[in-house]
Amino acid sequence: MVREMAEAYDVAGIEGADRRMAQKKVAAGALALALGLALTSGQANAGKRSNTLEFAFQRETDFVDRIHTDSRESATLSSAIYDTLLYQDPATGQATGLLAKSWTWKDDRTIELDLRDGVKFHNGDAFDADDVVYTVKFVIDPENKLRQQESAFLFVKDVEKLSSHRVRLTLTRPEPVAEFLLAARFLVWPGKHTAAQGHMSHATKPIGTGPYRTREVNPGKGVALQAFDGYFAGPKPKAKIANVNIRIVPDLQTQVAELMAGRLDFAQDMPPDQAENLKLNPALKVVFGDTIRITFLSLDAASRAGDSPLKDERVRRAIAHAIDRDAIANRLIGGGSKALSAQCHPAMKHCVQDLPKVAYDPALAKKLLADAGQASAVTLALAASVDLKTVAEAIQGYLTAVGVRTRIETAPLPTWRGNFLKGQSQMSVLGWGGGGIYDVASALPVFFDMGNADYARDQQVADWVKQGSSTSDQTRRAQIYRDALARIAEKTYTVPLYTNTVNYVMSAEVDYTPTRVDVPVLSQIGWK
Amino acid sequence: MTDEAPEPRWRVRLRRASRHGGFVAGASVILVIVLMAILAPLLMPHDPYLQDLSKRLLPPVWDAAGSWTHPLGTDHLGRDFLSRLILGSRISLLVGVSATLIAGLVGATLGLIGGYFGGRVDAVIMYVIATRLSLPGILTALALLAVVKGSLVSVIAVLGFLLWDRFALVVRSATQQVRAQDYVAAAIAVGSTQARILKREVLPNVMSPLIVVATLEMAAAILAEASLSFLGLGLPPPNASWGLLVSEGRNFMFFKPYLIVLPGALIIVLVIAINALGDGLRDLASPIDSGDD
Repeated sequence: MVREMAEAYDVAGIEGADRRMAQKKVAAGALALALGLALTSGQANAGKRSNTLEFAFQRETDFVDRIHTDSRESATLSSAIYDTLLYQDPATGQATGLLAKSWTWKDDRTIELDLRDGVKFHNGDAFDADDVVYTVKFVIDPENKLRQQESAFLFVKDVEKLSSHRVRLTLTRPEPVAEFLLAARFLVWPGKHTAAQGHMSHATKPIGTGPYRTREVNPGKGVALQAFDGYFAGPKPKAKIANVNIRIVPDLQTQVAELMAGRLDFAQDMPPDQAENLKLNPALKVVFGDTIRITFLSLDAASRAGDSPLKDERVRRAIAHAIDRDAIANRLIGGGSKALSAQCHPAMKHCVQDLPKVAYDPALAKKLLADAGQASAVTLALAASVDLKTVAEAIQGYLTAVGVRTRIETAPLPTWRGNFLKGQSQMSVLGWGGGGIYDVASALPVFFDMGNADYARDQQVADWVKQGSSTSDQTRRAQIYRDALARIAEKTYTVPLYTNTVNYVMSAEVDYTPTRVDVPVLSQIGWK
Repeated sequence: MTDEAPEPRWRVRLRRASRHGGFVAGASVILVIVLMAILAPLLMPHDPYLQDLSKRLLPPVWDAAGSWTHPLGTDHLGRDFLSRLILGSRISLLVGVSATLIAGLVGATLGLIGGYFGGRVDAVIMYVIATRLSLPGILTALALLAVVKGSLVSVIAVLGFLLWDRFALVVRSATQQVRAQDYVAAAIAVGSTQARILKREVLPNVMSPLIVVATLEMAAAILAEASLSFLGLGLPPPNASWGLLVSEGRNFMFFKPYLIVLPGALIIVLVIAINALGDGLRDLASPIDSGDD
């Protein structure tokens, strides 16, 4: 086996010391393979022959539908099981029709949607305007207390059935990214079925119109999907693989072992170092891609977590100067990640690129701390979800070098998020994907709206952000967001760190091209 | 008949110790690790906390791409791995010794009181010991550290207050035996205070089993710290505890196995050495071996 794998390197033209190194890594990989086989005996057959894709999630999601919750896992499952009114093309990022075949803006607060004919739910019910009305009324009812309901759903004020396949949405305000929002979480439930079974039935027995139907939801273990033969021909492709078994494999080393043992076909978000090493295995393929997600450091400028030196602008600037963002992006994250200069992804509409760059300058950081009367060691808490622990450690190293002591507090994502929203974070490393929407309106409001996630509490910024989200005048929006982003940078309310990348490690038999939206579309995955 | 004076007892013990393979091996390894911990500032080739992301995961010297600048390479943040291993010896020994001292103090005190006074006092102490024994050690430590947050002090304190039960049981049992000896009755008869009897008559005679238990508990404390740090509830980053190094190296176990093997091997070696030393002490202190050979 080792020899065969090493011969593959000969074919690839790897020579000399590189080849010896590669052979050593292959030997290590073979050892891992044996271990992997031992670890994973008894799992289902993966691969093209059984037409079953074995797919790994690192963490569980409490709901498989994106109405109840929003996470990468729920987005992956939702896009397979359900369809939204509109669809954001993963390749271009533009909105197109899905359950609504077309739409018309009657004015800046009214949209009329023509629904697609001949669409069936997985239970055989026919899709029509009643289902849209039922679902939209559910998501805009504040009594239902859905996560991120304000930003994701409540821009819609009402829904009205015009005919069996035509509905009208009335908005609460002009919403410049309404089409993206309709493509994000506005999926449609079967109305009669959900009314009879209750909306919680979608947690265990989801019924949608998507390219895959659910065979089994096994809480804590995974979800089994089966291609839905009755799927309509729309912009989202029909399922190419008969069965997809999504398994929760929290431990990345177990994922690596299973990939090498051929018992897993698809995994995502490997640490870049692992991904680079896995590239050497000819049975696997590693693909890197850009995403719209950014990672930044939140600073408690408003002292929500209690009085701290962070209320002093000079201390916040010192922290920004102490961190080498280029090194974090290029050396730690890799895969094409880029250091950020503003609190938004460069690919987002109205994300300014010409703000003054905050240079990595530890000497200046020390001077700023001294000017702020904090020359002696400052101690701050640095929180992060478990998956961002390494980034937090790197930041800790940089801050220690300028005399800022940090206490790293890592927790699973839900725990970290709960603490963050309760105002208990002095500093937090966090990633934000903005629902995959290519507009600054998806990056700023959540963190600068005077709400639970706002640690700046700057009324001026909040006003600008609100204005930017309430007008369709793009020239005015550009100026508003320029002002807001400039002030956020000037006051160092956050330290933008880097653009995220995504990597997918898959069996060489799998055919998938990543898109900028860092959520794999299962129906786009096929066999070679 | 001979004019030669009997060989001093300490010399007999030293001679016997030098012939005890396990004792010698254990003591030698511990001596090396203790020296490594004491001389760490002189031995560490680099600042163990100095990160350089441009030097992440440099290979060790035995790799074709390795160099003597970083003999064991660097970790995931570009910190010198040898320096962090050396620093780790300090933390492991500090945790082991400190937690054992706390546990020994608590356990020996309870054991002495229970064994000496007997009756209701002993019953209460036995109830406390039984309560402690009913708690699973690591799980209780995990729960406590989840509340108080991991730090050097909290880890030492939690382990110290969880590892005292064996001290208490052994000392209690030994004290009950000593309590029945004539010299204790004589001390009572001449009017010695109970505190004086405990200090001057009982304690010295239960020291041998106490020391043996201390070695076992020290090994247990070192292993427990490594386990807690590995599980993320022990010492927080950027400490260089061996358990934490194993935890960090785990992410690279398939492609850079030395990052997990080296700190793991050091933990094993230290724990085995302490156990070997403890076995040696037990053999040397046993009645059969305590006389002249």
